[in-house]
Amino acid sequence: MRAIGVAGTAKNTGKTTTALEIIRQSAEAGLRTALTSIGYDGEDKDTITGLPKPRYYLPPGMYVATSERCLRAGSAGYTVKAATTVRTILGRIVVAEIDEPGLVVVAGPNRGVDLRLILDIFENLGTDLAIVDGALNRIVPMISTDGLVLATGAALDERIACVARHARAIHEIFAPGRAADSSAWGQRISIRADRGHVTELETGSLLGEDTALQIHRLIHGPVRDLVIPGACDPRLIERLLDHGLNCLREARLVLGSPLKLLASGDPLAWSSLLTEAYGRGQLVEYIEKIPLLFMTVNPFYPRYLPYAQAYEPANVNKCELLAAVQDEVPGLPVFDIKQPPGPDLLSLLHRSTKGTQSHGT
Amino acid sequence: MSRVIDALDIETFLLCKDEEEAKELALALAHEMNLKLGDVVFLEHKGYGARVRLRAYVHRPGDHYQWLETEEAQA
Amino acid sequence: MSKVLLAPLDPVHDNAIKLLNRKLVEAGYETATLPPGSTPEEVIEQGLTWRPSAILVSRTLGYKVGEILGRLVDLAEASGLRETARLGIGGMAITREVGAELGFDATFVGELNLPEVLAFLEGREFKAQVGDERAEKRTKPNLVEGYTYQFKDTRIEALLDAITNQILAWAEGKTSPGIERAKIRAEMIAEGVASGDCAGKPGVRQRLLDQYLGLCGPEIVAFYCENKLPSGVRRLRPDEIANLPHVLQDGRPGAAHIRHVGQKPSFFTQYGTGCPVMDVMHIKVCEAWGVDGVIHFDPSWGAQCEGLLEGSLSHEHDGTIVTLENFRFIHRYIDPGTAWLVRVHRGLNTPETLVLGQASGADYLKINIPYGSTGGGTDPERLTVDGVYCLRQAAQYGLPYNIPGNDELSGVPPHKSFASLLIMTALGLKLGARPIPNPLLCYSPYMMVHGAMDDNMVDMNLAKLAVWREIVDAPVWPGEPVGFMTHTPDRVQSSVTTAAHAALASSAGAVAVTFASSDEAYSKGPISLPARVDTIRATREMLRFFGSSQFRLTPVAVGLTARLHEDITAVLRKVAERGDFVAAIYEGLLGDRSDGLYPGRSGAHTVASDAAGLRQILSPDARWHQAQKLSEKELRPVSDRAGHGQETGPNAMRIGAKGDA
Repeated sequence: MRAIGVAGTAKNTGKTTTALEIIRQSAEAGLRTALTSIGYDGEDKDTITGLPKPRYYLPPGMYVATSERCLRAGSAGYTVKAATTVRTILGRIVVAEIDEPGLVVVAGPNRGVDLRLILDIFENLGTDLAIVDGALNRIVPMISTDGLVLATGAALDERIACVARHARAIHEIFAPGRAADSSAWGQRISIRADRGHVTELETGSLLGEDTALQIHRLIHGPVRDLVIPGACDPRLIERLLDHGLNCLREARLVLGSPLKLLASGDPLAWSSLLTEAYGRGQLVEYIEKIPLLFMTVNPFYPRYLPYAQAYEPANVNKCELLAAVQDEVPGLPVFDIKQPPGPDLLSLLHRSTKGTQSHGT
Repeated sequence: MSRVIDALDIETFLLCKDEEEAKELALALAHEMNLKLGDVVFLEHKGYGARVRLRAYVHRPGDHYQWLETEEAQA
Repeated sequence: MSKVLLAPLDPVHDNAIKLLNRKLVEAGYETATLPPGSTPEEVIEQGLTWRPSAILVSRTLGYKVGEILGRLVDLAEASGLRETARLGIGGMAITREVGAELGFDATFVGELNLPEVLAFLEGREFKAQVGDERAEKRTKPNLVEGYTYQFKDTRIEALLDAITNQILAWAEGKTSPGIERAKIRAEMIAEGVASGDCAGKPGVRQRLLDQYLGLCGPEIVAFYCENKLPSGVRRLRPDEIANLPHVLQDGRPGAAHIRHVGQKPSFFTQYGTGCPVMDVMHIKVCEAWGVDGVIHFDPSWGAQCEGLLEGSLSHEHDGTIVTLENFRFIHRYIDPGTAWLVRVHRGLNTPETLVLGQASGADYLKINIPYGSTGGGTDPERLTVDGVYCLRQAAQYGLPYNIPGNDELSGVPPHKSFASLLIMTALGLKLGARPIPNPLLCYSPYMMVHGAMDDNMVDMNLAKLAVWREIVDAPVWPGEPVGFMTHTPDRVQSSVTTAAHAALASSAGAVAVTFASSDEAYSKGPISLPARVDTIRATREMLRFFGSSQFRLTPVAVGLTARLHEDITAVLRKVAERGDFVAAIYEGLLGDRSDGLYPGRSGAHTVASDAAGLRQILSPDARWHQAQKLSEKELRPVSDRAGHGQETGPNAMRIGAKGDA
């Protein structure tokens, strides 16, 4: 089974449209497909903007993991294949097979550990391709998948150049490879000195000044590895480096995963930090890694009308948007799903990008 | 409508099962009544329905006020 | 001890978090709060340091706010905090679906519901409460409990004793068509043939119905014999009756409370849109908003026809018709914790209305002989006989009754109105019933003319309530409704004045209050639901404002109380000295023409000393089931036996026919 996460850089960037296209192509190819979500996808209008949203209309034979209540709210015919112990706000999650085509409200597990459980169930049912729909800009649980598809667009920023820069930054975040010794590191921030001695902090995430100060105080000489397995604010690492910690400037940075980086800070800040690190010859690696398979771009954005205090649909120039993003992410396939020619997404889902780049020495 | 200085409020009570349904119904009511950009000012649901105040601004501050036009202009 | 981290992500507002913090500490939790405008990073960092078992966040949803909240959840996942801390969120526009999309473990929608939060923190499934906890345990109010009915004023007690003895002696053995119809109706109910669609015992029904119709007016006879419905009346369709449960099934019964502190007063509202289905909707909404009891109002013409209709009937004007079917239909939907009062003093149908009310489950009755027999109402002689009968029945059934003082609206001064209330109180007590006087808190013609409320409406109303405490230890129930004649069609003004009166009555220890809607002064159409809710909300807010604080009697109010007390005593003395209660009403001792009152006319000369006498009044020629041959012009006015020169009013049904003496 191949599990694919479809995430978005913001709301309304086209995740569901992208996922629907993958489902369509998968069904055409006769693949046994499964769908779940780490959020909730059911309303036909956006909660905040009030503008219409695409819904999941699923063909027979698909598996879907969603809450029991949401299953009943849809129009598709189904048979429950497995009940789980996973509970969300919307109720207990079950895995069902679609018998009659129809609309499905998808509200799946919101935690990574629960998503792994659901993916195991999909695999046991003989699924070929499992799709995990994202929610808003949430992404971290998708580390359990085999690859990520990222939807971006004007809903992130109406300025095409900003969307393109953002896309490049994300692409750069996915560039570092997986550390060969990733299994050696636990859940805590670890500092391995040049001589091999390892000091650990209580916490695994660098999100506050106090933690940064702790790291600062624990460094007395050259550092071989600085391992931050959890969340990490790039500004704090930059501050550590800027405050004259030369000991760190040649250290290998081992970070949790590209998804954790995206969750922890502005991709542009990470891009800047990584660029500087590579410039110094620093090695950056991940404990966990999934490939970024391709990106989709969506020219749509909800335009706010202040005088009406409401939103209306708007679009940036779709050709300019696509071209701008493609230019910024060489080597990464980028599509506008709605612009012909339609790409063969299935072949891209099996792309392997493991170890494409390990920057530095 | 041109003589409404600023806003039109509709006070009513809607049969509905919860606040969310009440809001949907209220906005649908505004649409049915052809009130542009209706908004729910107040909504309280208890038991079987919701007390609702629906508002549509006819003239917002800064808009062109029809009531300020001279009679000749209105004619 | 479980630890909870509270994080207001709103840049300014953190009141909800502060309130929740207080409640959680009281519940035994260890809490830490972050300042308003905390960032997701700060929240997670604090969580990693302090290791709470739950993180509760508050934020109003808006454009791009979703992304901030999504990042918080992602950070919790990325940092591993998600494995040890559950995430909950509440705030404006945060629904369950939004919470699910954001990835939270719980969403708290609407007002703070501590049991729901505690269930989440304890990992329990929360069963949504049906209304608040107090509402869950709401029981029907017992308005007479704890009152001794001991008279504190022995002079008044002695006067009332004399008056009531005379009334009972005079009424002994007397009967009326209303009483006889009530007996027949009771027998029909006992036999199970009271409803027109009853399948069994057709012979029994016909026999009793024939007897019944022999005591009815032509319009009622026409209904039963020719299926002729009065103008503006239609039968409810079966689908209307059958669909109502489906409409109500998605609702959540149970209520909030209007009271802020204490268990008194209970709040009653009047209903009577004309349509039982609409009435049920009004009742259910009022219950949900905290009303403790409801009062049935029927059309005024129902008091002026001899006989009652039957069936599930809808009426397109004010008032829902009194029928057994309508009563039972409405009562079926009334919450078990809601009290139901049936207005019994319905003129010519007073005894029968009591029978139907009692058979349908009424908890309280309403009757006032002087008030009902004046001002276009029933003949005093007739209503006294019927009223005494009803009080005996009320005692037998253990049904308390309230006594409305709405004669003040005609211009009757409060001391005369209260004298009537006291007579009705003492009369019921003597018969073993439990009375609840309803002094009317109003801006009556008397108040206007005499300037009694020129400065404020507090002193006089407080005096009206205080005088009762001086005279007798009885429950006092201001109405119906409070604030009468202070309302205008303006929604806000109307709600506020009701709320102010209700707060005053509450402060003065009223056991119950009847209040109106903000449509009280609107006469061109039925009362609307928004109008009801507005008044309920205003009252709730006013009681919240005053809480346990109390209105005190000013020197002016003390003076008014004393004067009222003296004047009441003087009226009672005159009635006692007259030695004839019915004559006292006729002669205006309890309100005369200068007070805007005149004796009622309906049912004049229809009292007999026994059933045989009644048959003489209703001669064999008066076969009302053949009334289609009678027309208005064939009916002769009832003779002036009492010498009062009365003619029956234009709306009154006449008993008597050709050859009547």
